[in-house]
Amino acid sequence: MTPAAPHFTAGPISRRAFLRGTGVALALPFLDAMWPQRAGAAQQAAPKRLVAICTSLGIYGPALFPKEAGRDYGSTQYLDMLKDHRSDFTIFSGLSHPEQAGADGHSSEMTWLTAARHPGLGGFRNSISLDQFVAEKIGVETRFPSLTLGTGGTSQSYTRSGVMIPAETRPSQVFAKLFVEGSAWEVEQQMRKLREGRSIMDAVNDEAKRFSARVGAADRDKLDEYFTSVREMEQRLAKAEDWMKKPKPKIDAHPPEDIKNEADLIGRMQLLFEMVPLAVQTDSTRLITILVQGRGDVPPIAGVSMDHHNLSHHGQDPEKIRQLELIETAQMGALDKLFAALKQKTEGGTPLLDNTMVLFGSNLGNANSHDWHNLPILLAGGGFRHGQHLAYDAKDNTPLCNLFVQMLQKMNVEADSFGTNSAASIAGLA
Amino acid sequence: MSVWSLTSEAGFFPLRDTPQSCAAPSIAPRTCCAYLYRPMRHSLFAALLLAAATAHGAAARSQFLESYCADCHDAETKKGGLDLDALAWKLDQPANFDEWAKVYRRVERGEMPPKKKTQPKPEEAKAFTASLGGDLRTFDSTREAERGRTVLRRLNRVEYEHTVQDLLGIKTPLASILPADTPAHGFDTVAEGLRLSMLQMEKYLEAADVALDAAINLGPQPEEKKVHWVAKEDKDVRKNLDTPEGELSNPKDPKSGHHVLLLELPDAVVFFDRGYPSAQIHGTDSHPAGLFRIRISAYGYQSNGQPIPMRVYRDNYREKQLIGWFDMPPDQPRLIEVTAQLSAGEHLRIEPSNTGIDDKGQNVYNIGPKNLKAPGLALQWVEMEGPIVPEWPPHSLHAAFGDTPLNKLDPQKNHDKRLAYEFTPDDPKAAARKALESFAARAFRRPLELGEVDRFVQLTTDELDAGVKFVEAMRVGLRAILTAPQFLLFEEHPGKLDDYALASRLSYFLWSTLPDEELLGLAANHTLSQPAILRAQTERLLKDPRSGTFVRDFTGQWLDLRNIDATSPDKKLYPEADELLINSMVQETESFFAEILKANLPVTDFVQSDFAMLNSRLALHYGVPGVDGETIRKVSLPEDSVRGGVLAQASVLKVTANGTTTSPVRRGAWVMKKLLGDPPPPPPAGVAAIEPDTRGATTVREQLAKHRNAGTCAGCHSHIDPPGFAMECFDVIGGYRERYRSQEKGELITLKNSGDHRLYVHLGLPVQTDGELSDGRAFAGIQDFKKLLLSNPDQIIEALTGHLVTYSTGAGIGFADRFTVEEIAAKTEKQGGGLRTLIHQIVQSPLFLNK
Repeated sequence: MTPAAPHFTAGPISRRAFLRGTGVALALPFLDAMWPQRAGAAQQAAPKRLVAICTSLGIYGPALFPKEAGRDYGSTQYLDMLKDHRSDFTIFSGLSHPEQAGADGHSSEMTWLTAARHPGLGGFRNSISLDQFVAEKIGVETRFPSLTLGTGGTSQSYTRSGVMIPAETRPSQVFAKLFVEGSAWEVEQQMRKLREGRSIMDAVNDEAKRFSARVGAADRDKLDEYFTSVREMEQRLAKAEDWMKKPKPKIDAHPPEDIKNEADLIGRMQLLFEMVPLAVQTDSTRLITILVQGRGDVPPIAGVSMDHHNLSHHGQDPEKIRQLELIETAQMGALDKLFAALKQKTEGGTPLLDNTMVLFGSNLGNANSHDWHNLPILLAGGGFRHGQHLAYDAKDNTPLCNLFVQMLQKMNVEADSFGTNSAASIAGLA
Repeated sequence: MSVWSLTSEAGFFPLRDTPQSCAAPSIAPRTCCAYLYRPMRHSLFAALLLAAATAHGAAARSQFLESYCADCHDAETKKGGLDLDALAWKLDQPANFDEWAKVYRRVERGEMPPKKKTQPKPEEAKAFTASLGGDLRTFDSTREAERGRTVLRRLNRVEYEHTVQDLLGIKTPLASILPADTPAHGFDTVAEGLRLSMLQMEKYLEAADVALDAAINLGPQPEEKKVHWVAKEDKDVRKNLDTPEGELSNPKDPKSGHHVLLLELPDAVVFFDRGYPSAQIHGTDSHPAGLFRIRISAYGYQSNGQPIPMRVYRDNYREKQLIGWFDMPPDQPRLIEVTAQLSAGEHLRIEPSNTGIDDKGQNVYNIGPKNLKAPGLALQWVEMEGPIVPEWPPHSLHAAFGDTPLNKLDPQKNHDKRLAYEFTPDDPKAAARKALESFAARAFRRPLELGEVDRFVQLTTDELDAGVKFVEAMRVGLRAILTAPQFLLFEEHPGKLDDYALASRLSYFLWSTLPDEELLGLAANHTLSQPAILRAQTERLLKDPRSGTFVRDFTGQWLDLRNIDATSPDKKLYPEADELLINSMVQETESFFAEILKANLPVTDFVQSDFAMLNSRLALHYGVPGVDGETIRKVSLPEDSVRGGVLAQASVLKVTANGTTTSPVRRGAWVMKKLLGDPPPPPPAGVAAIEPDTRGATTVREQLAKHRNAGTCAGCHSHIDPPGFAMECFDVIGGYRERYRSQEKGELITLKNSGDHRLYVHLGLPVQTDGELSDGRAFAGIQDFKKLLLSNPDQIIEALTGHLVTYSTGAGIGFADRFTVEEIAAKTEKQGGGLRTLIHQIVQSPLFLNK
């Protein structure tokens, strides 16, 4: 597909005007000066974004964590893959969420961004994830309040009532959602559906009032969830109708082709990563989560013959560790490409990465023993002063939510608490 | 002086003086919602007496606590986080109630005070627990009577799917459109876990759309086509057979020489390879969604007298789903017939198992099909007929539009070939009202109130007024009904459920769908709750094939069968683990439950039974001779068999392990939770998990030795570990073992437990299966252990009762409920302890009949 010429109704320079000037329609690179106007923004700073990536089978510690703390840490096998970006990220050790012993060794996958305690155990109720927390506040400013992605169908994003938002796994669908305009008929159909949805929400809201009068007091409290859901849906539909009327941003990129092989973890991960700069630079959303879901099959990587989950339970077998490192090195490679892309693209002269926080890590500190302490956590971008290894106490971990709160504040969200934080920032990070 | 009543109709709180000071707020422990305790061995009446006798219970209790508990559990020491000085008496705060319930439980079970501390006299302890238990129970019953046990709950995804399918007469899958439900107390029917959010609303609107798309089919009748595929005539098969061996497909690439991989026989084509080129049945893909009759004729070739399992899939190129597998007999063609629901465009795919490798380890690529002396599948032909359409126009149109007149379009006048019928109401608005009324009454599972449907009708008439066509206008009203609270939520009022609510509860319990006309008719007569009628209806529902969903959904959650694919068995350690085995093991356990239900066998059979439900694959796996064919059937087990009961079933053994190693702690906790109704508390925060070392040097038993020795750990692990130790004789796929399999070290043996005789593993260290229960009784292995479990049958029945009550009523077992559960179990035991009896007792109990 030939890239369509970017088109903006208004902006610092209208591309149409530019092209008219030259008299030729060329497929030109996306020029820095043409970043689209944001809702209500005239001459403002670039918006802040948050991208959170979780790789659910952990990251082999000895190959990741430097032995030394501070700025002069000796690089490791995995951090070598990111050596071009050393001053753009911080590696943390000694962080975790408290009380993550759950229904089984992998339950903490549900709570990496929520910090709810004892995932999956009796009476467990998850809480809102970091991205959704921010989406509640700033989601209205973009066409998509957030983007929830994953290599499998599960995600890291949870609503306020603790329900997991299903992940979009197909980059082609993400691309279409963000950039492809439907035909006039399709758009009309969608508008009709949106209006119909609103009428239905209106009707069922009335019915819920009637229902409420019939049931007892205890049930009325629970019915509140129904009312809230209907109201929020109504608002979402109204917003969607508004956005429907605005043209989608044009992008100089080819729509990706989905990877059919479910076992191709690295391929799928990479392709989803490629969506991140596209979504961010067009301000389609400012919140993205990606769950790189560990699987029980063999990823197609040269030298890997055993399935990923099995390898994560290496039992100190050197051959399994060797193969595990092949997989994780490839993951670091994908991360390296993501950082490069976010640095290469600029807005108002600054790289996207400067205003985009990328959190990469896992809910497992030691997958071999299902230990959720001492999590691998890496934070890049966002305008922090990076380039160091911040090492906290391995026996008495610092709450990961302390970092989360600092990240929230960086996004200009007024919050001094989230999850299980014990402070509003993390020592050593500026 | 306090007065209270233990009748549930009472609406007042017991008044009492608080035994401790309330200055400090009570400690809020982590909520532990599993209230399943080991039974208190006295009846309701005795409890009443005891409680009445301790009218000054509060003071006596604080005396008890002071004498035996305060040393460790005061403000300074706070052992285990419990500070009795600060623990107030504020039962209306759930955390406070839980804390007192914990105190009760620990003392009642004799766990506290710990053995090394001063022990209370038996009558002192009894008086304490009776008093405390009585107060807790009164409070709980009163609260339940006011609010009901179950808070407002919605249909879960499975129930939604069945309900909409039944309402509209369609078979379209819908559950996967909706977000996953969160189980609470182990089941996805429990209100606490069934939240509502905007995400849910969005998906309900989407799912309703998909359902209506399937239901509103005004097209011409889909042609029932018959595809007859003959292996010898298939073009890809012929290409492989007829292309000369070695002919280069790419002249530049010397490695692109053709391999003939199939063998042509007079009446069939033999497929050797397990994978490519497995038979993709061309011509079976161009069809709409629907029901299809599939027939296949094939036989095993060169298989040394053994049958060749043949797997049949439906495949849409993105994923394939197993329709079934069949043992194809050696040398003699077998005709199999199966009916299956296919989505549009799915084709059939056939793959054989246990084929393609000869005794020397050579395959068809090495020496060619003519010389290969390896088993293969001789495939003759495949037939596919369908879609099988019982009636046209489809019943779904009547289900959605009621009696609105439907007319066949004149093919001459109609230009849109996709349409063959249209609705032609004289008065569209009146027709819409009528149709929506009847649909809503069925969807809401009760008669409508006056004007209840007006709002929905208005949506449709507004559309009609705006010029929208009748069908499109109706869709809006129907879609709204499928998103309305009356549809999505169960309406239950505190106290005794009205007959309509009871009809719903019964039908969702045993069929996971809305009540049928017979149930609703009895509700209309107000006779459903009469014991004899209720019993007859329960029987009817159990006998109906629709009760299969109860078997599947209950066992899937009670025994964790839904997690069967959470891990993959390590291919090196467990090469015999194939799809047939995994598929069969789930069927085994579901059939086992179904058999116990059908024959009303004792609930204790879940612990130990003299039979198993097996097919050929399972029988091979378990070493049980004489079972042929893929159909699961009842097989008697010899007296000394290790099998029998769920603890010896491969599915249970798989979901309690990962792909490489077993964990006695995991299995022990499973037994406590699922079979004993006594879930262990989670590990303390500071404990590091064990680092498994599978290099063969240390067994997990050796690594867990710490639990037996350390004092604080032993408290819980003396309960948790023993079942797991007994079950160590079973590996991660449920095979019996006396030695652990190892990656590299140890003796090399050939496996004989599957149809593939070329598989081998290393055997390493011996397995230890002995142990002792927390009360000191010892066991040598799994057989002894099961006998010990059976020495307390009450506990087994009460545990299952608790699970069934939770599943069927959407609420966990509260403190007061515990006593009713004991009564139900006792009544069931008096009548032989059968599962069917238990279900009847549950349906007739106040736990089921009240909110």
